[in-house]
Amino acid sequence: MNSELEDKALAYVLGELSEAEERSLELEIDRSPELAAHVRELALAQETLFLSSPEEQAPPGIADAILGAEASAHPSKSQSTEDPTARPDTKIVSFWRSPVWAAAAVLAICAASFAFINLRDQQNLVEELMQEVAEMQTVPQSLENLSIVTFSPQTEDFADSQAVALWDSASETAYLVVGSLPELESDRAYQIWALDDSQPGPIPGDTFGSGEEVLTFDSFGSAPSEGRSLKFAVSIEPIGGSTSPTGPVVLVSGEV
Amino acid sequence: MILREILRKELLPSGSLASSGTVPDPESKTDELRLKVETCLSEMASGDENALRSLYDQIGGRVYGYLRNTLDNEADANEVLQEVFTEVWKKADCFSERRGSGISWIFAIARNRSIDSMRKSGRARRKLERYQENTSEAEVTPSSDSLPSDDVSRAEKFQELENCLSNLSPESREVIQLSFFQGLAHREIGEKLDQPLGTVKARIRRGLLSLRRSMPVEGGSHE
Repeated sequence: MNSELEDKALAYVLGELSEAEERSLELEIDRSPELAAHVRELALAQETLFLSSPEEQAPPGIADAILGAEASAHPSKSQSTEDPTARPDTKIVSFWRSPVWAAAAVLAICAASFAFINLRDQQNLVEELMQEVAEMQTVPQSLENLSIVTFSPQTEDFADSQAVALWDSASETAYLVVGSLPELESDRAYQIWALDDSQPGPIPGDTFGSGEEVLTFDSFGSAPSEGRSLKFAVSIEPIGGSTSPTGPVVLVSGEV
Repeated sequence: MILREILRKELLPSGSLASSGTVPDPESKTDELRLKVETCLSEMASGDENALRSLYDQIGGRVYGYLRNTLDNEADANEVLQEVFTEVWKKADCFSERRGSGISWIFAIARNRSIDSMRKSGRARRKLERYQENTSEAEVTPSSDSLPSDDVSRAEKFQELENCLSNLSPESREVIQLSFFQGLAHREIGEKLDQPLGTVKARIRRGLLSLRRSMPVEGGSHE
C-alpha cells in the first residue's frame, strides 16, 4: 500500500475527507481487502484510544433537544401524514419499508405460509412471495440485492415440501427456508449443496432435519456470474453430512 | 416469529443481510458496545428517534468525558456534545461498516467538532503554548476546572488512558496526545513541533497501529 493511500485511510478514519473523497476511497476499500483491513485497524485503534478516556455523566435531554430542534425547524412534518420519525434530509422510510423489517417481513411471510400449506396451492403461494419481494426491491436500496429462488421436488415423496432460498448478491449468502420435509431415519439428515457449474463438484453446506428450518449458507466461494450458473440442491446424507453427495437428491432450486 | 429473530441477528448496519458470513457473537464488552452502537446507527438511518436516545444512553457519557477532557470548559463541552449528536443523527446513513467501527466514527466527529470549537475560541493556540511550556515529557494533564475534586478518583480515571498511551513510542505518544486530547490539527502540530506534516501523520498512523498490536487479545478485537 503506498503512502498516499495510507494517508487517505488515516484521513478517512479521522473524518477529514470530503464526501467525494470518501466515496472514492470507499470504492478502493471495496476492491482491496488489504486496504479494508488497514482502515479497520486504524478505526479500532482510535476506538481504543477514546474508550480509554474517562467517562463522565452526560447531561440529560440532549437527544430530545436535538429532535425538538429538528421538529421546530420543520413544523409541517408534525402535522403531515408522513412518517413522523423521518428526517428532512433523508428519504422517508416507514417502519414496514425499512431494510431490516422489510427483509424480516418477507421471510416472516414465508414462515406464515408454511402454516397454510394444506389450504393453499403451493405454486400460487410461492409466486405471491416472489411478487412481494420484487415489489419491495423497487423501493429500498438494500433489497435490490435480494432475490428468491424456489426448489423443485425430485421425487414424489417431496411433492408437498416447501423450500425457498433468499439470495443476497451483496454478501453472496443464501438463506434457505425449508419446511414440511418427510421425516428421515435416525441416522440420516438433509444436506444443502451449492451447484456451481464452474466447480468440479457440489459444494457442501450444513445438514438439517425435517422440521422448519432457516439456514445460512455462505463462504462457499462461489457466486453466479456471466457464463456461470449457481443453483442449490438438497440431498439425504448420513448424520454429520458428507463432503460429496452420497444419497438421493430430493430438491433442486432454480438458478440464482 | 423465529425467522424474524434469525434475520435480525444477521443484519448489519450496511442494511444488507450479513456481508461477511455469520455475525460473530460479541466476546468482549467493547465488541458488545460497538455492536449496540452500530445497530443504533442503522436504525437511526431509517429515522428511528428512539435509536438516537438509545445511542446517547450507550455512549453519551464517553463522548462527554472526552469533550470535558479536551475542551477544559463545561459549557463548551455541553454545546459541542449536542453538535456531535446532531451530526451523528443527520449523517447516520453515511456510516457503513467500511469505516471499521461506529464508535470510532462518532469519536472522529467529536474530535473534529472540538477542534472547531477551540479554533473559534482561540483555545487551540493557548493549549499549544501551555503544552510547550511544560516539561519535554508529554503528559495527559486536563485543566483544573475539568478535574473531579477527588484526586484519587482522578488518578484512577486517567490510569487506563495513561496505560494505553504508555505503550507508544515517545514521538507517537506526543503527536497522538496533541491530536486526540489537546484538539490540535495536524498542521498546527507540525508547525509548532517543527515537523513536516507527513511526519506528523506517519507518527499518528504508526502510533495507532502500535496501539492495536499492544492491546491484549480479546474476542473480535484482533483479526
